[in-house]
Amino acid sequence: MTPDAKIETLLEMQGIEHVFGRREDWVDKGVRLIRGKRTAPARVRALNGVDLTLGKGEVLGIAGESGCGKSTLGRAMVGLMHPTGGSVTYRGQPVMRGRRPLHLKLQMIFQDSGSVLNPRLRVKELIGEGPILHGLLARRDLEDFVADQLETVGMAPDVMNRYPHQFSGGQRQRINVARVLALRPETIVCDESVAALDVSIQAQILNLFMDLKDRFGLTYAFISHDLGVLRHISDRIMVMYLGRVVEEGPAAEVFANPRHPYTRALLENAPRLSRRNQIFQAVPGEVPSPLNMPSGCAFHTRCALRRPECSLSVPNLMGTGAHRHACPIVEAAA
Amino acid sequence: MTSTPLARPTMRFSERPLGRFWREYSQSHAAVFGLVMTLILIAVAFLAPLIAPQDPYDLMQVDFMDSELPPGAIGGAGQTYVLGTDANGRDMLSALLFGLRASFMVALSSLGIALVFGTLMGLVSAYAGRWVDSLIMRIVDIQMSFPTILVAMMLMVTFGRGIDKTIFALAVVQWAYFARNVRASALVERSREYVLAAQLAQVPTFRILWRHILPNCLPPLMVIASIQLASAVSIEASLSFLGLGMPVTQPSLGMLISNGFGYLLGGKYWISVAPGIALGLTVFSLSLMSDRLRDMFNPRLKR
Repeated sequence: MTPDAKIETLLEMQGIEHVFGRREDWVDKGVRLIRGKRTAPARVRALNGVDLTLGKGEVLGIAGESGCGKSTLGRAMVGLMHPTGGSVTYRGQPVMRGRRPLHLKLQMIFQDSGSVLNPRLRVKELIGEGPILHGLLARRDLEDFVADQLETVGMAPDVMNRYPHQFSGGQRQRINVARVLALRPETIVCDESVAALDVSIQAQILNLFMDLKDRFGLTYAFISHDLGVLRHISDRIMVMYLGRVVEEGPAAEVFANPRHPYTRALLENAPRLSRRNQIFQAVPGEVPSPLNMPSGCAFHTRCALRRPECSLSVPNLMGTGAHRHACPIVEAAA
Repeated sequence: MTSTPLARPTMRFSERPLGRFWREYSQSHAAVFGLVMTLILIAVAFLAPLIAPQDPYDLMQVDFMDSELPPGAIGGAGQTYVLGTDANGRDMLSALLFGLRASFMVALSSLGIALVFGTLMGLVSAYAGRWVDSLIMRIVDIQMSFPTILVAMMLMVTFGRGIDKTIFALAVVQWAYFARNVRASALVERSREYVLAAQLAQVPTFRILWRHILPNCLPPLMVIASIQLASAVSIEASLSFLGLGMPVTQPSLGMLISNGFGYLLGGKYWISVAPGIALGLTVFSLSLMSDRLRDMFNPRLKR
């Protein structure tokens, strides 16, 4: 878990919990008083005690199925929302001031959904806005600066007067990367940043991310459901299931030697060319609803190694060294 | 464009938002007609002092001997009254042009005030949230639970007639529509990724509202504005018809209709009918425009 002592820790999260749902208001209270029944809607436990550290220069991959809380985690990381429990610090300072994010050095690249770029602004306004506001750039140097930024992400400078709708998804994501880089960040959280792109474009953008990392000494937290993508870029990997970390460790080791039954199931079912005739064995069952979490180990409803004691208590991360997992059954067998 | 239907590009790369807007708007001929008519009506209304045959407010120019002449009649001084004259010998065409001017002036300025104030309230409501939002929206709810014309009449009865009071009353009954709609679209925009990205880039709140959220709320706002303009014209006409709106010295279309009302059954139809047609045409053209705008911004009707 702790990276080399030499590496400076940038981002640290401790015991992050987040519960979605509204509090009981006075109407609910009244109804409960009269009918003796709770009417406040059920709550969704999106995150259940996640610890995380991100060292300088590292690429951390965060994997998990949809609904496991990885996007919530990403937003909490950069200070776009207050988790209901736990602390998030960046270089020892909280990531939020009031309801707003605090650190300009900590940026996020969202999934391309067509609304990552303000449709009413030209490319040069999109890229130049932040730097001008923060005095990184004089207004008269705008065009040169934007041209420079566009070149960094491999786009022609003459697109700066166009509007976002005139670009394809891959081009928009490049412009978005240029916009984020223009703020001179140190750490970038990528939330499914390539998920909406074609595979060939995905590879281009991923290579761009890695080039930029080397050029600017960036640190990434890369959130994705796509294990192939994470294998390609991560130094360290974290696997999440229903708001908890079930396995974490150096990427090479986790991929070569997955311990937790959930990680194994995911990796065995990742499509690969060398096994093109394989019949996929889907992880049996559905992801349980976070409205109604299973007791004990959240994965026990679908686990092949299930034992009666699995539903009794929540297992903590265990194992020696950097590679840790949360399955006592596997640990006992090892 | 070539004759092959496939040759038409779906997206022209050099096009500005305004160009795209016009291309889509002009697909409905009725809407183009509505726009052209509206522009003509506004133009003649504001050019009234230059193009009207006489100044209907100047008693020196009005000849009492020419009263109640039918359309096309020749007056005592040899001039032709294209739309006839009213009971005081005023040229109806001139009265109508000046009346149109009064109507548009009141409708546009009340719309402007309601738009600015309502938009501001809506933005604040959406972005501040919590009790500010609740407070503003409850005021809007209360406001909108009363019939528009009733509130306007109550205000006019309380404050008396006058241009400024009419504008005020119309602004009061209209701002709530803008506030509610702007709040709704601002709430949607606020959770879009580009707003989150702006927050991460430490863009100040005011600038996020002004540069990022507001411009993206404009399309639905335009629809509301065009609908409200038609309704402002007709509410003002109703108030003036009932004798509650504009002062007698500055008759609007509603008051012109009201003036001629008593002569209608006596066969002197033109005193009421001409301003009535002008009012109808104005509201009709504005409605054609707002219908088109509404359809354009309705994603379900997109081909």
